[in-house]
Amino acid sequence: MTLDPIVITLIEAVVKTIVVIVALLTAFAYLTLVERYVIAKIQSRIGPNRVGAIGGIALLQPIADAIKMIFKEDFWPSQADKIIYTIAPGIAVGTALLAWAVMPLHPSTEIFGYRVDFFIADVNIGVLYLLAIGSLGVYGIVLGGWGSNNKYSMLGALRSTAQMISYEVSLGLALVGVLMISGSLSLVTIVEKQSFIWNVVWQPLGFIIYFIAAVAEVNRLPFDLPEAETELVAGYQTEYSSLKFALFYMAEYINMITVSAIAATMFLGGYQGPFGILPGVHWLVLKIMFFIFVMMWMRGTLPRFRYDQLMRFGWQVLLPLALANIFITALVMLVVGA
Amino acid sequence: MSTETTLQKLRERFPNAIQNIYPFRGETTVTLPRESLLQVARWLYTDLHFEMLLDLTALDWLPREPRFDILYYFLSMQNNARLRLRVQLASNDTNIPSLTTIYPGANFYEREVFDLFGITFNGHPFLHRLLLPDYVTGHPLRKDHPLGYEPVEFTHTYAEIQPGKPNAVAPPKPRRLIGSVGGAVTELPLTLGEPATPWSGGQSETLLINMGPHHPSTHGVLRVALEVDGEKIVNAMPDIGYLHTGIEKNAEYKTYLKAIPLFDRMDYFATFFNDLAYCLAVEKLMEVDVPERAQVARVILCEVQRIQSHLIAVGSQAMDIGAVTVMTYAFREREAALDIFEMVAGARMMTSYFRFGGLAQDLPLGFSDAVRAFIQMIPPRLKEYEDLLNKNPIWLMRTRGIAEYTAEQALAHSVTGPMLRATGVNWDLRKASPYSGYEQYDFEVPVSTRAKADVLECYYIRMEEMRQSIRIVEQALAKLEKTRGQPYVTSNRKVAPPPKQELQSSMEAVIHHFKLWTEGITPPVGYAYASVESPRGELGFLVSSDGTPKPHRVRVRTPSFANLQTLPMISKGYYLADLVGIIAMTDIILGDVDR
Amino acid sequence: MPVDYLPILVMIAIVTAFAVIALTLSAMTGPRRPNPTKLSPYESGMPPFGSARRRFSIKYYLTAVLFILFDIEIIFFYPWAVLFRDLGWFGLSAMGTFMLVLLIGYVYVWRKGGFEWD
Repeated sequence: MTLDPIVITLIEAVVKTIVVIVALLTAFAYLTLVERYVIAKIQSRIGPNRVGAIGGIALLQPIADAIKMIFKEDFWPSQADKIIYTIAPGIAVGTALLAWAVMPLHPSTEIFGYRVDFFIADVNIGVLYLLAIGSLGVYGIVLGGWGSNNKYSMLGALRSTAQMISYEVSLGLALVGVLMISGSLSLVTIVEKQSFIWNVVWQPLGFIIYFIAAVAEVNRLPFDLPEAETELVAGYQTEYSSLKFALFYMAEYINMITVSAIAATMFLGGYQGPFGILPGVHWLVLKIMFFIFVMMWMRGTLPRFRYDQLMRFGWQVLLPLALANIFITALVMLVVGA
Repeated sequence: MSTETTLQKLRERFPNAIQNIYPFRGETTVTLPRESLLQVARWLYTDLHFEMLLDLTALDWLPREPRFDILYYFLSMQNNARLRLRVQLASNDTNIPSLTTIYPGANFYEREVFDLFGITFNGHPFLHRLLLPDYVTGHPLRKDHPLGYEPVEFTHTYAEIQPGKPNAVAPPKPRRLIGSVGGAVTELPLTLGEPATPWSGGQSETLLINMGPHHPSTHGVLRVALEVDGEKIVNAMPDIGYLHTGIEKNAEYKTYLKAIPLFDRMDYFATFFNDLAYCLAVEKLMEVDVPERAQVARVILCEVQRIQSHLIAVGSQAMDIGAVTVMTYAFREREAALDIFEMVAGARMMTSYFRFGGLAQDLPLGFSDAVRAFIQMIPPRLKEYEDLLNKNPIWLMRTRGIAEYTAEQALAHSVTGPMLRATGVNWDLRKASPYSGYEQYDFEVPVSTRAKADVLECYYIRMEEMRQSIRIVEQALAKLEKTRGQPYVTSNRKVAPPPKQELQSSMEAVIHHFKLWTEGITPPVGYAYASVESPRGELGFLVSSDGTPKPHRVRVRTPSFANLQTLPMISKGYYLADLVGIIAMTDIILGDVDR
Repeated sequence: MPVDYLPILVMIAIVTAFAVIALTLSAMTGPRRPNPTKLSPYESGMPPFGSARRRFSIKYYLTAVLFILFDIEIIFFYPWAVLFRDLGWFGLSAMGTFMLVLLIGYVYVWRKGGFEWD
């Protein structure tokens, strides 16, 4: 019996999507544990060591947290815009997950004579898609802040919007250099072209700009103003509880994984090993873990920017640098190429 | 300039104004009629360089007429002189001119006296209750205020308590007022959804926000009502009193000794300082000598606690700006200090270890080693914080040039302590008027060399003060070795109980013991003020005795209370995100502010 | 090819389903004991002053306008970058001219204080 290719594609897509989502949710759950543990060690504390602890690490903590979150009271503040307030976390987590549709995870292989691609979709505008989905992510935060009708939420949401759109410009421009080298917008092609030498070798400045902008995009220290606990209590999350709060949290961590994965894919060769050694998903995971560790390390070390300083840094430092990077790349490519 | 010359000049300048000059225990109180108060105060400020109104309070001598003593305590740093003015008010005419035009720092003090004594200060820009909610009736520090129930209605509602009180009245509309320093004032509603007009009149697109009392970074239950334009602070008004527990009133109903634990609860990060200042005041009143060993022990404990308190100040300031790691490191070090306190006093925070004339008991074995280990541990740890902060560009951006204020502004608002030294004023009571033998130690007072103080400067001063404290502790430990075996408390049996073995052989000792344990100490009639340099500034106790075993009044001049007054002035024009750093800079302890 | 986008549609459907399930689950489980204090907006333990929904500072709007300007610029950059090898010096000069125009605007905004947030 032969199936219509479209049906095969559909079935494949459903299976892959579910696998990716489950993997991401698991990664999110354990990332919270890892973060708590790493930060505890940096701050000379003990960290979680109670729930299902093995070797001093509470391995069941994420599950306990999830169960607790599910059974917490879920309420709608009396002056909130109920619909917006409810769908905001959904939008946040949805856009965070959707970015993974174009991420190449592993080289394509033959399994039982059947060619399997380890990405959900290979679209010829992959990078553009990533940026588009990333831009949508801000809606979750803005609507959450607006819907809550709380001043802290509102201020946090305004800050967050201004911050995310400001750094998105630099983020987008930092990737242009990679596109010039690869000559493609498809992430699959970009990764395949890095089989021997990673793009970071040609694009060190672009890589640094991307990473800084990415940290700002995911609202991590030193750019964690939207939820700056000491002044805005919890920013746009102030009025959220139960699973709705968990969804925001989930979106934040998945975004962390996403920007790390993009950094790995665009600059560090994605699933490619150094000098073409043993390509595979393990490299991608390792690189993502490295970036996430750096983000945690930054959180354990740096104080927080102030809003105006952050905006000035984004517009007056990162943006000109990103533009300069494009022109340097272009000149070098033309001179060396000629 | 000595007190004598000051008085001489005062007599020459105002021959008719002086009603009485009362020297007692080395302090001078000049009694004036109400009419000449403003004149004399202005003259003191301009001609005699009394830059600061250190304290302003009242005493209520109920059966006497004139009933109230209003006490103004002035400090001249230039001449290292202090002078107290007293104005007596009759019970049926409690009006007095306000000093806010000369000393802006009188603002909170006058509001407090209005709140707790019902004295009206004419010309005050915003004379409303400060510590108590507006719906409270009566003035609790008056001697005829009915006791019973709660002094401040927290667990019971107004409706439950009010009928039980004499002169019950209908509850007023629940409103809480916020005032400003010399600026516009608005009434803020307590009911939900009621509109509020911003101070600036509502022309610009400003937003009113409440910060506190239930907020992660207001260092306790401070409430700040904010008006912001975007992220910029247009107005910031502190509203205090959420932690007011009436310690001064409670102390009037305890014996002198039993009041000590109350004062631990004020500045809970500097408990030894509270106890020390109180003990010094009572010792001054009773003219008690303190043996060498007790003095050295007091110095060591206070300096260790100064380190502990500054660790919290620096750590929480870093945390408010986002560097949480510095806070956890600082609290790690603080644990070691708390272990030492636990060792001597059995309690980690509420120590109550000092007694009149010395200590509650001798220092435990191993105390010197524990302190030595502590001071050896601290310097490398301070280096660790500085590695994290001092060269960090974000930290510098967030602290340099934030909340700038000058020495004149600080003096005008009665600011003392590290906040004052950050403006370049070299004023430390340990040097200016040494107590507990501080003149014997070799240490420096860190003073800023910049023209204006800011958040960073205060941080530097605190870091350096910790290092100087270590120096003092090192010297004190050497002294402590020499005093081994010497008495730890005075031999004055009117103040300190006799040792146990004496009770078995001496009838006199039994009598002393019995008197002390049944009645307590009875200082002579009069009042004495003693102050110490707490981690936050000048902490002074005015203990007034009417000759009974219970204090007539204990007035505490707390540094946080005065330092907090500067908040509207220094935070104006900075960002919302800066405000948390600014509050951390003032290093207020709400127990110290509200008492 | 349009068929390439089919998996993305599938993913959108699944992700939407996930979000809906999570939100419904959170509404169904857990206790429901509201009271006026709990439901009032949190403002540091005090009744809030007025509403949070009001006109906010113009500076945020300015940021949004700037973003749109530069984001559109990025959209122009992307196809140019992909085809850069083929376009060569001509591509660089063309983009250079385009950039110059934008840079004038950027400098103008800078000089006018558009990047000052006070």
